[in-house]
Amino acid sequence: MGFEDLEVAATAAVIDALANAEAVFGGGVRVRGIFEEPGVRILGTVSATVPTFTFRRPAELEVARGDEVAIGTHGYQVIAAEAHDAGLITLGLSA
Amino acid sequence: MTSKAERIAQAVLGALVTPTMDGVPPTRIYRDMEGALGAAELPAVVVEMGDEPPPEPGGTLIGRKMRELEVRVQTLASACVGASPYAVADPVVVEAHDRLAADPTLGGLAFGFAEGGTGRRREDAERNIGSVTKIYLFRYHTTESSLES
Repeated sequence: MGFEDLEVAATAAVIDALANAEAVFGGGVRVRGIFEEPGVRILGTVSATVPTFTFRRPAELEVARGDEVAIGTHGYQVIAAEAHDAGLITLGLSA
Repeated sequence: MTSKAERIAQAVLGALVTPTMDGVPPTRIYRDMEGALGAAELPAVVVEMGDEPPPEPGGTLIGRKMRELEVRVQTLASACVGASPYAVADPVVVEAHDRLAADPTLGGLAFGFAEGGTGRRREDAERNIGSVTKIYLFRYHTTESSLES
């Protein structure tokens, strides 16, 4: 097994182990991944959260800015999609 | 004992709170706010006292000192995806400015104000959150020995 294959397999195992939420995309595609929603102080005077969802993108799923995704009971819109190595993608979400 | 600078800041707040603005209720207009607002509590306005440069001699106003107080009026707003928080904040910014321009002396406390700069900042979060800060420079005078009158 080449290193790149090992990296993909290890990443997949980590994501599978750490996944804490299921996202439902348009078309009904369901993907498990890591949902995070850290609180931040915006502009010095506003408390807000910055929700993100990190997952392994299945081949049948295309994600673009403006797409809608449901995580739990909440609906979000994708405002950014950042691809990482090993097939991972992190979505920036807006409530 | 209240300085004229403090009374000016109070008067700015009062001008924005009464009567109620169309764009922001009085409960969302803050003075020198501590802590932070929730993203769901926007739009909101924060009035902050700024610095004062050293006073100047009163010129023809013998026995007086000319002073200048910076007051910052920050309007915070959020917008959904594809919309601008500046556009959401804009009616509030205009309304607040019109309130102050309607009586720039604040009932005789100041000679009037000069407009300073306008700052705009924006950040991504659960909403598209932005801030428009307008600076007002209020000129006023006191006796040489007092901050109050």
